[in-house]
Amino acid sequence: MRYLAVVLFFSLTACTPTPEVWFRTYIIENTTDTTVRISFFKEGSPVPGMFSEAVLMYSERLVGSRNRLDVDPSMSETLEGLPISSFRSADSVLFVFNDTRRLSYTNIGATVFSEPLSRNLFRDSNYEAIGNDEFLYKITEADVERAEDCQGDCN
Amino acid sequence: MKNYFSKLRKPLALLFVLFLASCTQEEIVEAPEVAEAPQIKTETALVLGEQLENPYSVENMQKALNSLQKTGKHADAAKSRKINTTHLYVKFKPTTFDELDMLKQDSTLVLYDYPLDREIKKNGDHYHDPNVPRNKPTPQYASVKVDYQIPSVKYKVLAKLHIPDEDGDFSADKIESNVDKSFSYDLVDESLRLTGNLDEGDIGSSLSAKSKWRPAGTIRVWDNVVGNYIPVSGVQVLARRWFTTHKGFTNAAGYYSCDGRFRRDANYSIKWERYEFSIKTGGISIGLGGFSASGSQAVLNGPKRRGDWNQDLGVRNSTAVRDTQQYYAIIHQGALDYYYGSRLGLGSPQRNATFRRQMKIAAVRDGGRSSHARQRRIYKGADISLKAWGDDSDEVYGTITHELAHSAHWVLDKSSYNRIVDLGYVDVFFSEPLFNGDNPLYPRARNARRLLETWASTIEIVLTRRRYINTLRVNNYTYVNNDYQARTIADWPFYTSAGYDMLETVNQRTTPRLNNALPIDNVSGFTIVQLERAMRGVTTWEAWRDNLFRQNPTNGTRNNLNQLFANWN
Repeated sequence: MRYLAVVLFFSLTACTPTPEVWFRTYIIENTTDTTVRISFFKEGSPVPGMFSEAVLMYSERLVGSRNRLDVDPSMSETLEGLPISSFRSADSVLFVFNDTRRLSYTNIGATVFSEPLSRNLFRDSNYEAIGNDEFLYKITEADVERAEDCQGDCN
Repeated sequence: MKNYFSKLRKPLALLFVLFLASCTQEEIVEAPEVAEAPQIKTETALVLGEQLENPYSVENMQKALNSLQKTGKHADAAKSRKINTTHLYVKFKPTTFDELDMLKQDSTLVLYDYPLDREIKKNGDHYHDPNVPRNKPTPQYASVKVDYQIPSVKYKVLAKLHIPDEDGDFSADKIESNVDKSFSYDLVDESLRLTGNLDEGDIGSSLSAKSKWRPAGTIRVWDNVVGNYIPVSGVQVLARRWFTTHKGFTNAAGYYSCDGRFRRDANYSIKWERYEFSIKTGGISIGLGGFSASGSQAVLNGPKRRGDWNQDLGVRNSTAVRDTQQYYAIIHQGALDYYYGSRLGLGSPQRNATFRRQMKIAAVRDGGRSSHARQRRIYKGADISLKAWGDDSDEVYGTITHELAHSAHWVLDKSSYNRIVDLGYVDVFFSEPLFNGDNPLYPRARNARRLLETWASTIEIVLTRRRYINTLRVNNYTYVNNDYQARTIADWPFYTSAGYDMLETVNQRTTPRLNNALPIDNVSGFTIVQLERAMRGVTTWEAWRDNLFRQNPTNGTRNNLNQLFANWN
């Protein structure tokens, strides 16, 4: 009887082992007229694959890897640093605008972020919910203005 | 028993009601031909065209012979030649998936889901006979030698064939003399002409018709973590012309060369299947996943051509796996490596054998929670329902590895595995408040679920790291959540880092910042085989810990096992 119950249970729900899962995808969009080159690093070296360098023109988006969570994000105590996992566990990001100006953000672990906190790319709270478990970070003209002049060396 | 049954009665009744209410919605449905980007290929069914006149039937070959005799060409040879039956064109009609599996036991039998004497109007990645219900196996078509011992599965001989120009590398009856060879070629050409199957370009082109070529090429897949196309190994590539199929397997460089030659065009294809496993089209699951009994065999029907077929799967520069063939290829690679590659000494997932069956993997185009459930064999469903659509390449690879690790766990210790599943997923359903199955409150359910998933996650991390670091040579590579080292205790209560923590030397708690959110890990120096050995006879988190302590007296960190495991209590 017990085996039958097990069979019935699995057959009907097909849920071995399927606990609930939540998703969170972080997306970066360039809303400026400048060309933005985005590079992610971990411990000083480029992260592998597509996030080592991406170029965004106006209105283009870079979609981070989808995060799976065991618990409801609204219940999470450590959600703030989650965007790191979307970009292959990077600890810094470099924005280069039109190959002339640069701006970077860092995180140490998942809770210590570089200033200005309100613009740090690695903070969950700097993203806007746009539905379908997707969250958007907009690169704005203010970011371009705040960026430093590379003085010939933007890397 | 009576008491237990009375406990079960209410939930079972509710389940039954739920089943009746929802089963029609649980069918796998085909996704619409729209995806996130227009260039991405989704599942499409192969479309058959007209019935073709069979040039290799004994009757048509006889007509061709008569015609040659009349023209006076090869007069002597034509007189002495007899059109005997060399092959049979067979339609197998398995009525159950067990019978289909029986057919597949014979690796020399090349089976096709679609008839070999029909025009292919539109290529697709699967075909199911519209006259056969989706929950029954579709008929299988094959050409077999006339003396072949046909398995005891219902079949029908559709045609007796005379195939004089089969040129396989290992054919026992290869054509010997040049005179015979030339005559056979002309005989086939004449039959192709009489049956209207000689392509326009072939008429009068004796050179192109008689020089032979060997099907070969390279199969690669886009990997967004590598940022390039990488070889797919162990893929069986088929090249078919009418009733003759030559096969080849890709090597580590993705290169294949088939075991025979053709004079004319051949249809290339890939069947995402090996003896040990088979990938099924999963469609999109609505609601409850895994109802994949009706999933068709995943295939890639390539071009009809003369010459190499080099195929790159997936869209260049895509940042996630959202191409069906790319999805199949990465799942194939993960399963192939687990079954046929070096497993670092780990046990195998359940193998195929007489009275067993292949591992069936439903490649579901959904990003939910994947699952392994042997119980689905009861109704011939897929063992694994894989839902990694839209993930990074390495996560797709890791996820199939994870699910196969569950199967290997079952093989390692069936009784304990069943008990863990029972505790973690079944008991919780019956003993806790109804509809709370996904959020178990009882510690013993959390305990069992954590054990089951942590062990599979450990193998997932280890084998995926091995592929990306050792095989693909990706610099600065870490798996998801920095090899799980960024996973907090609260947010990841089941899929924990504990197993991998015992293999590496990082103590997450000493990395600043997260205070108590990350586990204390002062354990290291264990091997994956030691971890596996300690899983035997284990049904609780603590029992695994205790086995590890007892079995590994020389590990200098074993006294910290209590501390490590206690992170998740």
